[in-house]
Amino acid sequence: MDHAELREQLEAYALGALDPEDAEAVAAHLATCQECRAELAGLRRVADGLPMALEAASPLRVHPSVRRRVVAAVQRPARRRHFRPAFWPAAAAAALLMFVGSTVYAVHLQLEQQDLADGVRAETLHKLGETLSQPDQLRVLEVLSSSTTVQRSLRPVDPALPAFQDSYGKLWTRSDDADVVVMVNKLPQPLPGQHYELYVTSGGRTIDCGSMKMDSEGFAMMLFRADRNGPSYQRAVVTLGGTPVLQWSA
Amino acid sequence: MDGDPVEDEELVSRIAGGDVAAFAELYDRYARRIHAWSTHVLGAERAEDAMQEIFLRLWQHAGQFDGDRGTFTTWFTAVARHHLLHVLRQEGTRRRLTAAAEIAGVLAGASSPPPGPEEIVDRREDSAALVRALRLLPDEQRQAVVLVYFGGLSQSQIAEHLALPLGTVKKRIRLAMGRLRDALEPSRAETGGLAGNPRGAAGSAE
Repeated sequence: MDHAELREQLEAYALGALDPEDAEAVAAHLATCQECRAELAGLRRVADGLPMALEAASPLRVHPSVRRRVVAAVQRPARRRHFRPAFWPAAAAAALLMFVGSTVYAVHLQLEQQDLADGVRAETLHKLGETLSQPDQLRVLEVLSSSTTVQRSLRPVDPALPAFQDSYGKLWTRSDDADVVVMVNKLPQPLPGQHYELYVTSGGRTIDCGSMKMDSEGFAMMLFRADRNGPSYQRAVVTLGGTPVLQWSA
Repeated sequence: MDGDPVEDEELVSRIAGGDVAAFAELYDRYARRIHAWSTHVLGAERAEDAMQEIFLRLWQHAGQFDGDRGTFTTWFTAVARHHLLHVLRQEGTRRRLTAAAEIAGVLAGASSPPPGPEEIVDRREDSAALVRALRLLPDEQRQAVVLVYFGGLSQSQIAEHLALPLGTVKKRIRLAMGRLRDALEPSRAETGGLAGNPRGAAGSAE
C-alpha cells in the first residue's frame, strides 16, 4: 500500500477497527511518515473524546455508594498482602486456573502476564480469600500441587436438568496427607433456606462434610481433614436441599 | 481554595506511590464517564463490577503510565476500553450490536451537555462540540463509529453483520471521523483541512 492508501486507513486505525494485518501496515507507515502521525493525533483526540461525549449525552449518574466501594477496595493492603504471588506454586496456580470460573480465569491470566512483583492480586484470588484464611489457602495449594495428588471429577447426577447442566466439581486428596479439597462451580443459587452439602463415602460409611457456601457465581470451595492420610473414598456427593445434584463414584 | 487544578498526570504519579486521596480525586473526575460507558455497554447489573475492575487497574498499574507517550486520558481510556471490550466479547455479537444501538440512540438524541463544574474548560468545550457533531452525523455514520468504538467490531465484521460492502463501511467511518475531527478543530475545517486532503466543514454526503 502506498501513502494515500495508508492515509485512508488512519480513521479506522485510530478507532481500533482495522484487522490486525492492516493495522500492522499502518503502524509501520506511521513510523516513517510525519504527516500521517500529525493526522493521527487529531483522530485520536476524537476517539478519546467518544466516551466523554457519551458521558455528556447520557442521563446516567453514579450512585455515591460506588465511590465508597471503589476507594475501599484499594485501601485493603492487609488482604492484598495475603496473596503475594510468590506464595503460589506454579502448579497450584495452574490447577486453580483450570478450575475456577471464566471471569477469575481471565483476570488471572491477564495478571500472569503483568508484573507479578507488585503483590496486588486481590481480584484474582479474592474468591479464595473470602472463603479461606491464609494458612488454609496454603494448605489448599499444597493439596493441589503435590506429586501425590489424586483428583476426582464430580458431574451432574441428572445431566438432563438444565439448571445443573454446566455444573461441575472436583475433589483432591493426597496419599501422604489428610487434607481434602473440594471445589464446585457453576451451581445455581440455592433457594432461601436451602444449602449445598457435601457427603463422602469411605469404607461403606457416609460422612457429612458440612455445607458449602456459594458465591454469586455459583463457586464454592471446602477444605477438611480426613481421619487419616491418603483417605480413600468410594463416592462424593453434593446435595441441594437433600437431593443429590453432583456426584463422583469409583 | 482557588488555583489551577492538579493535572491528571500529576495525580496518577501520586497514585503510583500509593496515594489514596489522589486516587479518589481521579475517581471523581472519571467516575461518571466510566459508569456511563460501562452501563450502556454491559447493562446496569454488570456495570458496577466493570467499573470497580477498571479503577482497580488504575490503582494497580498507575506506575506503567508514561506521560511521554500520551495523556492520562488516552491511557486510561485505553485501559477502560480494553476491559469493557474484553467482557463484551464474551457476550457474543448480539449483545455488542444491541449495546451499540443503545449508545447510538443516546448520542443521536443528546441535547447540549450540562456543564460539569469540576471539569476544566477546554475539556468541557471538546465534549460539547463532539456531542453536537455526533448528533448531527447521518445515522449510518454514527452507527458505524459506535459499532467500532463501543461495540469493538472491525470494519469487516460490520460489513458482514450489516450485509454491506466493506467499502461502504470504510467510507462511513472515514467521513464520520473527518466530521468529528473538524468539530474539535474548527480552524482546520474552515481552511479545508491539510493540503492534499481537502475536506469541507460540512463533509461530503455519502
